Amino acid sequence: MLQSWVILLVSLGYLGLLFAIAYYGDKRADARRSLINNPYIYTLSIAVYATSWTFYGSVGRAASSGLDFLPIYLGPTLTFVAWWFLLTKIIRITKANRITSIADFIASRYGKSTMLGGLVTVIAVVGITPYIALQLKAVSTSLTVLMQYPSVVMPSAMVDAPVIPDTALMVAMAMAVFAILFGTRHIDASEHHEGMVAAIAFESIVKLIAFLAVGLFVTFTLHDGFGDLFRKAAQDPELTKLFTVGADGSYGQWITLTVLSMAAIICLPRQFHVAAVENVDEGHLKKAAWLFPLYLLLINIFVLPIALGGLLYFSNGSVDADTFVLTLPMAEQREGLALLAFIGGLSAATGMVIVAAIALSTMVCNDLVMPVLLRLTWLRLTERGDLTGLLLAVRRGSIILILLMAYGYFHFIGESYTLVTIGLLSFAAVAQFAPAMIGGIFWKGATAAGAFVGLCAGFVVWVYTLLLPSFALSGWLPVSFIEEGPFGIALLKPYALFGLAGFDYLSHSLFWSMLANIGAYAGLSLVRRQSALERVQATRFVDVFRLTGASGESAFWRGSATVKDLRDLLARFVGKRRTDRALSAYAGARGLNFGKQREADSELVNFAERLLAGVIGSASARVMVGSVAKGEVVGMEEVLAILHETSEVIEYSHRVEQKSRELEIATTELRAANDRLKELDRLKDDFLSTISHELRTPLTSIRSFSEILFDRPELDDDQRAEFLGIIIRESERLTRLIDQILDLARMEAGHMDWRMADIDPRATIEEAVAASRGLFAENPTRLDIDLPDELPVVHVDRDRLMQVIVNLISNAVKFCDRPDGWVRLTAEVRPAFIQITVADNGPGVPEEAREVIFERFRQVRETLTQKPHGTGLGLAICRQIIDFFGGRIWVESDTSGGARFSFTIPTSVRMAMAEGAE
Amino acid sequence: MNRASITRERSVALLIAGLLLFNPPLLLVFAGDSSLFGAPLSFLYLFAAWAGVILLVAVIARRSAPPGEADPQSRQQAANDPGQSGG
Amino acid sequence: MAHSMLVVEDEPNVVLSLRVLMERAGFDVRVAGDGTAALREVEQAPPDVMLLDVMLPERDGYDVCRTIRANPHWNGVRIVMLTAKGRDADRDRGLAAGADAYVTKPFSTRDLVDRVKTLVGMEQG
Repeated sequence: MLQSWVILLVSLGYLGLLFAIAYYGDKRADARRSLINNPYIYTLSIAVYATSWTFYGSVGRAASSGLDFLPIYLGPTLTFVAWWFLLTKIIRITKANRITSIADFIASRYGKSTMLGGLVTVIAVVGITPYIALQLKAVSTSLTVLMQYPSVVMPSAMVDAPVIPDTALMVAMAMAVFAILFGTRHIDASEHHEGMVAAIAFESIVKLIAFLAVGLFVTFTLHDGFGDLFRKAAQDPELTKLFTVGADGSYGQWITLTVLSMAAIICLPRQFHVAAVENVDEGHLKKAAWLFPLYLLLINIFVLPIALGGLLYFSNGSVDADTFVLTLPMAEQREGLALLAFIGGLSAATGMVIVAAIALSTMVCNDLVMPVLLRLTWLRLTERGDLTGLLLAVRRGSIILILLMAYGYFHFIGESYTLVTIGLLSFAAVAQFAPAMIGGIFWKGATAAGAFVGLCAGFVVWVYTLLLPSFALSGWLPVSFIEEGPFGIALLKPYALFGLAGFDYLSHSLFWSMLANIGAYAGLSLVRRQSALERVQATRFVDVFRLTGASGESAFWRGSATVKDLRDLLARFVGKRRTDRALSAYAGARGLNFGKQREADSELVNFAERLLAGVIGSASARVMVGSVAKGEVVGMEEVLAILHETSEVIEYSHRVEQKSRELEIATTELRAANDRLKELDRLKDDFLSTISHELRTPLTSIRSFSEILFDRPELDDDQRAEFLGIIIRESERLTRLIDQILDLARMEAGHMDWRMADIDPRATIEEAVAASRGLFAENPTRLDIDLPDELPVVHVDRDRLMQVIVNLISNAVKFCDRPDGWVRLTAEVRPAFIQITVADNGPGVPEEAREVIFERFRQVRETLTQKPHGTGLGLAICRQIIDFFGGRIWVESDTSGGARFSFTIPTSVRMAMAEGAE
Repeated sequence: MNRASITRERSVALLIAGLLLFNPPLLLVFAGDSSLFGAPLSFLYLFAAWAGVILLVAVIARRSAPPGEADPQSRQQAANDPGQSGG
Repeated sequence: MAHSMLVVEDEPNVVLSLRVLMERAGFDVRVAGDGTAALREVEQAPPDVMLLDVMLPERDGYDVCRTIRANPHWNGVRIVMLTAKGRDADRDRGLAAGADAYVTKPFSTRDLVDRVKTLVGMEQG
């Protein structure tokens, strides 16, 4: 049943499931409902530490050297004991500085040095390639073995062997595709890959269950429990050796392994990534501190039993111990369990490869390639619009390249080694990071120069004492290199440098590499001085707890940048949408408005730099932000001095501003007043000019006719009478006009002598009517009066009231010269006033003139040629009078088509209230 | 004496204890052939010691202060006198 | 042959006095009540002299004066502006508009007649 296609189908299905989980995890992350924000998933993601080395390799090592597979797991346990003061600090620093990888961490600490970042990246890539190779080996071997079911045959013993290299290549490419899909679908400013973390956590569960299943099977099915198994094993002296430690004096390596793994759990790029970069909440460490060691404990309980079981079962030694986890179920025809075991191993391997590939590609892109590209000014990258495409391409390319390199290592070198041996090489490589890292977070005095030289030295020693010999042992270098040293120089024997013999190759290498590393690091740091930036960064790292917690730290940035520049810069690397999101969140949290604010303050510059660092690494981010903002980091004292100076200047300019503002206001007011005066002046001019004209016109007639009469005595009596009549009339007209003008002028100036009294309006109206009778003498127009019997008392000037009524009546008569013309005067009583109306059936007043006629000298013109009657001042005076009385005067259209002039006079308040009370 | 320094001290103590327990020379004491309950002593010892350390870490973690920060009083002190080491 | 005169004035009493005055002086008097009518009259038969009031409805006297002066055919028309506005600025304006004389109201009848006669070249008396 366990045919090849079934195996492949299940494998692909499982990988598909992983991808689905990752996809779902990313979706939840985008929706801000993070799937991974709990300590259990965090712990399980850290458990990516257990790779196929743990799954297959531990058993293999246990089968040959007993318990010394264990220190690799004891070391991390001890490192996690130090979670409180070590791991938390690392995570806090990572968060505060938006660090995206271990290269970034080290580069950032030592003054954002791109050189260091690049060096760490190179070491990491070289060091981890063997580790990835070992995963490829494990998967391809286990696949090949499983496919031989039901026979249990080792790949090396297979006749038609060449399947393996191709399998490994295909596996490598498949994993490359996966890594690309998981980790480089887009550029995230925070370098969080929540989907990937979810998938890794799931894998950790699967591999634990698989391993425990096989362990339980071997211990309790193939045997009758631990006791039975160990008793059986004890019967073989070879096997009893495995129970112990250091029986043959090999305990030296134990300590080395412990120390190496203590470093590896944080220095391995993939571990740094899941533990620090992907960490969502610092508080998760509390649980992870003991949960993760517990996981390691659980997954290791059955290692020795399986190894013993396998050795007992395959006593002829035809089966590699590395494969016991798989071959034991296979041999017992347990298809399901074998498949489960295979999937478990696949899980362990893919987890490692994906995370490592992503972590390494991030480092290669941010700390190796981009800095170089940015320095090549002829590429003009700083001017390019959108760089996200380039970043993604570089990352994807590096993933493929790394996997090809791993495949290459596996193909040319890896076959001759056990899995664990290969892995230990990597551990020793990444351990070189430990001094720079640990020293960096506790020792402010550590310099970039020290770190750089230390790393170089340690790496060189590592290459010489471990990597090259591995080439020699695989046949790529002459074996004499190891046995006699290069060119026969015994002192330089890679396994016994300077005559230090008697140590296992690993301890030996660790000793010399650490000596060189730490020696150079400490030595140079003590001797050389730091640059200002290094000092700032050192403080930032070492004092991170003091500086962070509530909000970010404030850097001391004396520079100038505009919000727009920063926005554009960010958009190029992070994409416009994410930039807008980040900036509005930033602005929102601080109540700022970037639409109005043009200059970016230091906090914003920092924020932008950190954001950018999340994408391209802090060193490159520094370069880019520096290209946008002009300025440099200065020291605290300088800042204080500047602040002081600035505050004085600000104070002064505030005062100046105040003064000039007041001045401006005064000027504006003056100008307005001036304009008003000019306007009034103009109006006065117009008024005077009009008056002058109005007065001179009757005078002209008077004078002319007077002179004519004087000069021409021969005029006949009729003419004489006519002319004299004109003179008299015009004189009257003139007098009237003068009176009106004076009245109006006095009323407007407030110099009018009003004689106010309580009068009976009815009596006054009747008197006014009587006075107007004269107008109707020659006129066919009839006058109707309609008054209520009682009109309430009003408080007015009696003569003026009469003047208004007479004026209205005379206007009505003047304009109403129809044969059947009438003028009607009515009065009405309203709650607070009386209303008097004079209506006629004359031509009426057109709507546009209704307000205008109350103005001075304005009259309605009946026809173009006919000169209007009167002075044009009558209604203006009426309005003044009625206004003074507190009433209103206006004109409407009468139903007859004529004009309807009405005015109101407020009634005496006392009377109104008395009446209302009745 | 505040919670932060207690946590720090305990962590360091456990670290040292672990280093000693997990490594030679202490390890070699239990490295012989003897067996206990049918299982090799070394095997049992290692796993038991391991479990013990894990348990102690859990206890310390449960009672730990927030990492790196001193208690409010000593943070005040630290703020006033930066020469003093923070928690 | 009598000289022709056009009186452009909208105040009826003033019109009457001018008519009486000028007919006695030997002019053939026509009357127009506003600027448009005045121009019509001028078009029909340009008078020898015009008495032009400034304060007219619709178009004011200056405008009428300028219009007439703009037409070279009517260069022979003498224009006397009459107005109740007496300031120097107004007089200058009138002369600038092309009037031959500018007289303020109320005017001396004898003075006005003399002026008009001079303008058309009649003998005084």
